[in-house]
Amino acid sequence: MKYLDYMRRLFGTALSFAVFGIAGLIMGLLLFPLLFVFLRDDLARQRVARRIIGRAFAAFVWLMKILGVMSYEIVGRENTETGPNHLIVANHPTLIDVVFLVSMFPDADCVIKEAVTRNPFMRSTVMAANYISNNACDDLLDSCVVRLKKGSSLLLFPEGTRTVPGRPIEFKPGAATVAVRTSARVLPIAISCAPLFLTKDEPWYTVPATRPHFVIRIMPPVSLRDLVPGQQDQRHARHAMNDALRSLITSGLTDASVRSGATRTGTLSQLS
Amino acid sequence: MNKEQLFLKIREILVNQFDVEESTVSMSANLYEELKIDSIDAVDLLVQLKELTGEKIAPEKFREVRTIGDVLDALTTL
Repeated sequence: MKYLDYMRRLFGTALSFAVFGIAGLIMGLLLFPLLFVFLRDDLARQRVARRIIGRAFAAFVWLMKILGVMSYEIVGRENTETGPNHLIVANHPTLIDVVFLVSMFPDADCVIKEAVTRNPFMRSTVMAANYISNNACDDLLDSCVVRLKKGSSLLLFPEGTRTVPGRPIEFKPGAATVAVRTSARVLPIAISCAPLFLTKDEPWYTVPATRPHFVIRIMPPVSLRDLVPGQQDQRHARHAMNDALRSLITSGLTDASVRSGATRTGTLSQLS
Repeated sequence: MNKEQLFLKIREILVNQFDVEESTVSMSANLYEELKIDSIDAVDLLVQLKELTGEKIAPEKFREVRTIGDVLDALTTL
């Protein structure tokens, strides 16, 4: 039975990614180029493109769940009600975190790897959605600040890349800098996944022995003033903000996730 | 400027501007882990070192720097 379950999830993972790839290709080569032809207004095109991406990502989450690849629960949805102008900050344990978050917050701005923005298959998608490219590091923080001040939400993974399994979460200072410079309300999200899969150091086909369960905990929004009391210069505020965000998100992780972070993902050999 | 002078200068910058305890500054001290310097601070430090020596450390090279000794090596092998 265990073996069957494992094979089912391995097959489900392969199928999910195949569907994702094919759908992404059709969108990138056909749907989004068409959007450029028929929707001349940048903002209207951006809105439609993000809605499409949000729906597609929601469908992908649904597919993975239906196929039994993973299960998930979203906790704290009521915390998103305070408005659309949040700096959304999350930890980044797995490959599909961004898929969850974009399906939950389709209108938010995201930062995209420069390599992706130049990939001919994904270029039109990223361009239509008008996401932020991380090519010019000096401008990146400025772009983030400008976008947030315009009134939309911005989604950042302060770790900059996926968490190294077993190591404590560490945040690069970018997200804290944006928080300090904009005084935006921060919506912290703690993503737990146990047993871990789709991590930084394992390929997609390393499927754990039991079905992974995600807990996506949306925490109550916090402001700079809540986390960094008193008047401080930008540098001290940034350091304090970074520490505060890291401990806040770490505190929101499930115990199981913190524990499973200490060991590598299970493999087939562990089943027998 | 020789290595010794450079070290003293870097220590002075770290203590005065980045709240680093003078006693913790040594050649083997890790900037990011022990001295609580983040990458934005590191860029600041880089700019100041550039003004000090008139030489440029390539950002790619600075990215590999971990300890104060590494900073000095990067500066003196120019």
